[in-house]
Amino acid sequence: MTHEPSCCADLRTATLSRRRLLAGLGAAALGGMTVSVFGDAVRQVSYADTVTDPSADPTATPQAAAGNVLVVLSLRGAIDGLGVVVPHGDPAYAPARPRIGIPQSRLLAADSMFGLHPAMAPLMPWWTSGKFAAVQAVGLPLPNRSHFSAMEQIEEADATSSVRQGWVNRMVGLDADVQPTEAVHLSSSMAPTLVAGPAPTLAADGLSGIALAGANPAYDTDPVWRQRRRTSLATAWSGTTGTLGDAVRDALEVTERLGPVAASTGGPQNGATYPTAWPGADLADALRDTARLIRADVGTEVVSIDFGSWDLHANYGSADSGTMTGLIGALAGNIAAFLTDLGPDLGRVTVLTISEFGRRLGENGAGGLDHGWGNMMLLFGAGVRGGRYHGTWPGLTTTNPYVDDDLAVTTDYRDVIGEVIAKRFPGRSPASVFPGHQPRPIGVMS
Amino acid sequence: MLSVPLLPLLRGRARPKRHKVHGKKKHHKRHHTKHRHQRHHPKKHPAKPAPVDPSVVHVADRFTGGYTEAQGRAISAAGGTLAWFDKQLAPGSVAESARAGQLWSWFPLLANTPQQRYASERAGKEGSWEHGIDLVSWTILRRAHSERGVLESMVELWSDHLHIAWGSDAWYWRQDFDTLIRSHALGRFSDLLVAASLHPAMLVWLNNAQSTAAHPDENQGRELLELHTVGRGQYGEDEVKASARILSGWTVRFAWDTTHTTVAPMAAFYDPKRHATGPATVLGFTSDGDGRDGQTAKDYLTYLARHPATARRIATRIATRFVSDSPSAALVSHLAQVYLANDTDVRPVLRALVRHPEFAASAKKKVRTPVADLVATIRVLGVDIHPPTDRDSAAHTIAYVHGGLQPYSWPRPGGPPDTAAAYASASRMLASFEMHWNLAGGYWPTQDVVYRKPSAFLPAGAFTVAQYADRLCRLVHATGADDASTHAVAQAVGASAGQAADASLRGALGSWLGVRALGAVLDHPRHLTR
Repeated sequence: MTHEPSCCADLRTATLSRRRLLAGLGAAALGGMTVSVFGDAVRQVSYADTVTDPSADPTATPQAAAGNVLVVLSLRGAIDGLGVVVPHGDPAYAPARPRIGIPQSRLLAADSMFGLHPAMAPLMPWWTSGKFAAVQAVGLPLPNRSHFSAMEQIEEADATSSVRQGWVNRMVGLDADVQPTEAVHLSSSMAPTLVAGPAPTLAADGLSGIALAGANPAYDTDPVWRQRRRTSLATAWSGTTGTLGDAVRDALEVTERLGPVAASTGGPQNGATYPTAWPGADLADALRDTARLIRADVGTEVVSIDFGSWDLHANYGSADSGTMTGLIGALAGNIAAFLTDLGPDLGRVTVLTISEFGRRLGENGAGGLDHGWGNMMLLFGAGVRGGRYHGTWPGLTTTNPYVDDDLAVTTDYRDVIGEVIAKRFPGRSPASVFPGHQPRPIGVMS
Repeated sequence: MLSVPLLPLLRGRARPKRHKVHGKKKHHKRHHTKHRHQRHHPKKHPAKPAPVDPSVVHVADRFTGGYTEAQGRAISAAGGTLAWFDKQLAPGSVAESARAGQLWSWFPLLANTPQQRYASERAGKEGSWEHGIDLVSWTILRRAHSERGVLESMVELWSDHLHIAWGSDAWYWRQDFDTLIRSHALGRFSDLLVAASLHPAMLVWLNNAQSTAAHPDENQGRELLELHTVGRGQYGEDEVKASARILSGWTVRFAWDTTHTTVAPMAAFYDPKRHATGPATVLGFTSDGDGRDGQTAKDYLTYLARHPATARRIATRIATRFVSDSPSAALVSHLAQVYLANDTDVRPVLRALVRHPEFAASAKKKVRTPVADLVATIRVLGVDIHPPTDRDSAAHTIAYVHGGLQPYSWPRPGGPPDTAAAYASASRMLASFEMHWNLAGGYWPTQDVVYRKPSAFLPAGAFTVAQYADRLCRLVHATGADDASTHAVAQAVGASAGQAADASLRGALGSWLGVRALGAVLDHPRHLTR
């Protein structure tokens, strides 16, 4: 690694200065401008109508967005929010869950209505310091009990369009930057709907997957051969215009940008210790990579990660042992390690969890829970008004016509995400990220 | 590690000009005896391979897993492009390859009935994932090895058009649905539409199985109009409701259903008690509300298949798949006319398509999907996948090599997109390049698979780097190396184009450096397009 090309330090400087350049210029000056920053391997196209989102809050301070990052943890399979943020104060809760309910005495951070599952213990320091909040009774405006279809709906978040585009894709598409590194999905090389769409994004099993075969610093240790490989590709594609040629040039650029990050062996910082065993090890890999990506400051705004197999129709377990307790422990241990790992960078990073729907109140005959409706969301880090439970509790015995032993939804999930976007990414308006939805303030962010 | 002399990279026009191959034999013959010509082609120049007919390459790239020399020979043996194509429309008349004939027996789960799949899942044995991914592996290997390329191409097209994700609740029936598509892929769309719409897989996937007389579920009624037949803009919301009423009654006897004992478990059937009896009118089709033991729905489906708007949508889909991302209105209109004039039979439509000048002019205008890229790479490199011995065998793990969306796994009813933008992203490129290198180097998969060594791709006798590049390009691109390709290979191997391969370079190109050269030719616009 002693012969590492000198590109990288320059590259980072150029990236940062370019971002400032774009932020500092007026829309008119940028009309139709094409900037080539790093030679022919890189493209940067800016258009006036994308520089400033016209529906964004004009009083917001643009500088507040610089370097801010949103990490979206998709808890796929529908996590039981009533088992994480437990409504012990609701009289319907305990009788409905005679075998799998969490006893009030075991709850953490309990107030008169809610308390946290005991396996959330690793996260209590952030609850106490006001960097961890929970929102209850969140979800889709109407029940949708199909995993498949509810995930599509929640990630697409745009009933006005038939185009497959996730809200993260819309969000990163609202600024002048067209770098695919703006939104990165880690944990699978196929982008979920959440990040998929017209704006270029990246998806990989991990940072090491964002590598160019034949020029991967992890295997191809000689920089001369890496450069030959890159030069050869640039030659082969030099005459190819259009989306395919652009994609190759994007690939060359992001591997040059992220290659040093991906190949760096820098472990967790600030004494962070990630879980190493199932079921937490995969999430640990993704979060460790995310922390490295954030520290490298290469312009990434959103990181999306999938975690879990939360579809516990059977064998849910108890407060002390079983599948749910194991999964919550893995989630909590990982998030705690990640927040520790970030150290001072936590000041620009907000984490939120999302899941397609919640589960029923009553346990079924197999000691599990069937598909329900309302759920919880957890938020951590920058801007979060933590140490408290947000949302409006509908009660578990409501007469809502849609409710079938479900938790009713009183807060649209888009209001939670919209508030994060409004406060942390003031250049992007929630109304543009969630077309057809008028966001409602809920006070989870300051 | 470096066994090759490091020469400075040559750039631009400084590189010595190399001999170019004539595009056409005719041209070569015409000038054969001219003195001038011989001055340009000194006798000592090595013999050139015969140029390949571009129309053969084109039809193979569009209607098989990708051109190879063997595929080219098969097309010639059948009497040329059009004769080969017309024969392909009767796939039973095309002798299957020995490999393709074995593939079904490699994946025993494929033969399970829906009841057996249900029982397997309940017993905690193979469930939706194992059954689904076996369908994927088998499909990929069929695309790579079948001699019936047109059939495989149309199975893919109809599977995308009448899309059912194998990971969905319909998974118990997904393999049977594939069998159904195969049996109708080269026939009348009206037959396919009726059979597919009333198949348990579709009735479950689009919720018609749960539809009731009191509350007709609108999902399949809507998708039938929007996706499978006439398309958006042709109907109103009242017609969606009417469509749902007509289809209601068609349901499935689930494994746990102990009521409908006269119906085979997991089979589709018509239940008059679930049929919404109100009158219904959709796009000129009228029902008085009598389901007539399920016949009304069949008549409705046949009516929709024959609708001119359906003809345009099917013609557009076929032209987009096999011609270009933006076929002309004239081509679409021509194909739609043929479709209607032949009672929705797709064979005359395909015959008209390959004879249309727009088809001939569209070579290399389609971007290969990651799976099509994998299939084409297996074929050009001659990757020899053996019968599996366990689930780590290449026959199974091949499903994970391409790094893209698995066949038939698109998460929405609309099926995967068929235009370049969906397959042109940085992540896709990196994943495809990784796949090329894995297969070129034999790095992965490794179990029960035999790769050709890079030495197998070296020219015989003495050669220059340019001649080596030309040989690789003929193998992978079905055409000789152009300047940029020669340059790209030379840069990849750290040599000059004119450099003669000495023992050291030859040895490296026969091993590790050959992977770099193959990578340059596989990670190339000519291989990423078809």
